[in-house]
Amino acid sequence: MTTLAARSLSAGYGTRAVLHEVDLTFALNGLVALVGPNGAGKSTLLRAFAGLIRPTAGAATLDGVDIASLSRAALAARIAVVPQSFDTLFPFTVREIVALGRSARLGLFARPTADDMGAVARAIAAQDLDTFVDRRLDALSGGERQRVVLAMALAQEAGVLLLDEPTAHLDPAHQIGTVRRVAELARMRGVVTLAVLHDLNLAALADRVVVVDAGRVVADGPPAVALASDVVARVFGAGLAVAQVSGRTVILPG
Amino acid sequence: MRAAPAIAVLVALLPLSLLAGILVGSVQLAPGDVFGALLGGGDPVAGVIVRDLRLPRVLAAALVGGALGVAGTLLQGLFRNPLADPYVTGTSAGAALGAVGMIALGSDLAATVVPLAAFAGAMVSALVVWQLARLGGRTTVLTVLLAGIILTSFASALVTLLLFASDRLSLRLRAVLDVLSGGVAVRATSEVVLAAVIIALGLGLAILIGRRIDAFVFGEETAATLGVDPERTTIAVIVAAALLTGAAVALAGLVGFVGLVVPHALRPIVGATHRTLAVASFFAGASVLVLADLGARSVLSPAELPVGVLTGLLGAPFFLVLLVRARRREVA
Repeated sequence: MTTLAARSLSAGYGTRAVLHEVDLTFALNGLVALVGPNGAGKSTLLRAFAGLIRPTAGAATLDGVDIASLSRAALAARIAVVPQSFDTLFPFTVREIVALGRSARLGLFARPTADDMGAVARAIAAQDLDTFVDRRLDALSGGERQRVVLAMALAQEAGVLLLDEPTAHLDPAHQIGTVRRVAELARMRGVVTLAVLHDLNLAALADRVVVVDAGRVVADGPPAVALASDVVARVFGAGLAVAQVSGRTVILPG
Repeated sequence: MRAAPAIAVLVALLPLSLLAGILVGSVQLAPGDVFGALLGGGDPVAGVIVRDLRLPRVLAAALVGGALGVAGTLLQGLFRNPLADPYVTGTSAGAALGAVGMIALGSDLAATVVPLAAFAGAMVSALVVWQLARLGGRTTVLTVLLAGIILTSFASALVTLLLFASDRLSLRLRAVLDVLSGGVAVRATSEVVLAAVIIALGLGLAILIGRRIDAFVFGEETAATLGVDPERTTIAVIVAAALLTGAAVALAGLVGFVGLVVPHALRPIVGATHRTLAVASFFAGASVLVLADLGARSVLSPAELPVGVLTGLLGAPFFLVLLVRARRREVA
């Protein structure tokens, strides 16, 4: 079973420290939402787990192994990332993009194996993209594109899935659709799944919410606990109210 | 696979283009004499014209066009933008500076040194453009083009300086003019063979790293999380593009826009994946330049224009149209 952890992890950019001695452990517990105000350090935490930045102290670990010590290819086989923005000026088709998820497993001289093609086909089917495979990315709607990127990450068949604001460019219905899709994947497939989310109401759809403020974890637990009104008031200011509507946490203007 | 039949057609077109290039010239030869000469017999005058003049010239044109097509594919991938090629990024100008510098040093005796110097010049300018274009963390087509303009001006200023400063060079004005105007006129067979070897290396490298470039065009961080090392990919792309550009410039000087137009025109037909596009661009670029050279030899016949003049005349307006379209879509 995959375990992703931060051990006294500090990280930043240049001289600017963003995260301060963060300790977190993620195993299989459904969808984890990372929330916090702008600049709190949630994307930085995700980037440290993705191996895109090196911690200034402490470590991000995957099954106890320091992520910074793994090669790009080794990491890509175990951790998949859905980036915040994903676009190109070139006419790549949906199938070609999903197949990029296998890049790490293909040597320079290798041809895609039956395994690779199977993974691509499964990812395409899982995101209901079968009728889109030969379409170009720029011919798709925002919601369809998000499914393509998700399928690309799924094709990596990694034990960890990291998503950086996967709902950023979507309308409300697709935002909820995307989060539900990801949550279902996290629960059904045994993939450790972490998503940075801006919208607290979307975060409330997750199984676990980690609230980051000023580079530290200030709350961690099921939505009802981590998004309790005192936490929300302290971290996000007084403009918000928390209500429980039919067993679900809802954030409203206060 | 819509790409496979398209590539088959492009491969089949190349021998036809070569044949057309050999059949037509300022001296009118009957097709029978041309075929006779190609097979090693026939009329001795026709033999000299066909084997020693036309054949090396069309082969050189094919190699140069193919190399520029592949280099354009690579640079468009590197800059994530269809408005890049060796010419507009200043890579060709760097190669030309290297070549002219070597001619100034008097090393035109050792034909192997000129392509090496052209490769070094191409390498340096591609690295500089890459660094300039990345300032501020993201590459935009305008920074790439501006960086290309700056490099091209700088390189041509240095070439002019060399022209005035070097006595040796003023005695070799014709060789320098050939580099600057982009012609594939009379070439020694050894030069053509050497260029073919370098270009084969560049094409092979392009095919090997094609799949990595596919991931790379979605951004360096995305490439990294897909398991593709962005730094290594960048270096490999620049080396391959510099090999191809260096060999092309050493053989034919500055031939503009082929590298830009060919991949751009092929993408809607063979798709965007770089491995396929590189192969298709090689064959299409080769045919295009052989036919362009045929045109350049014919328009003012019996005078022969350097093919670079023709590709510039046709390519620059095409480039303008692309630029205007890109600006309209606000992607530039």
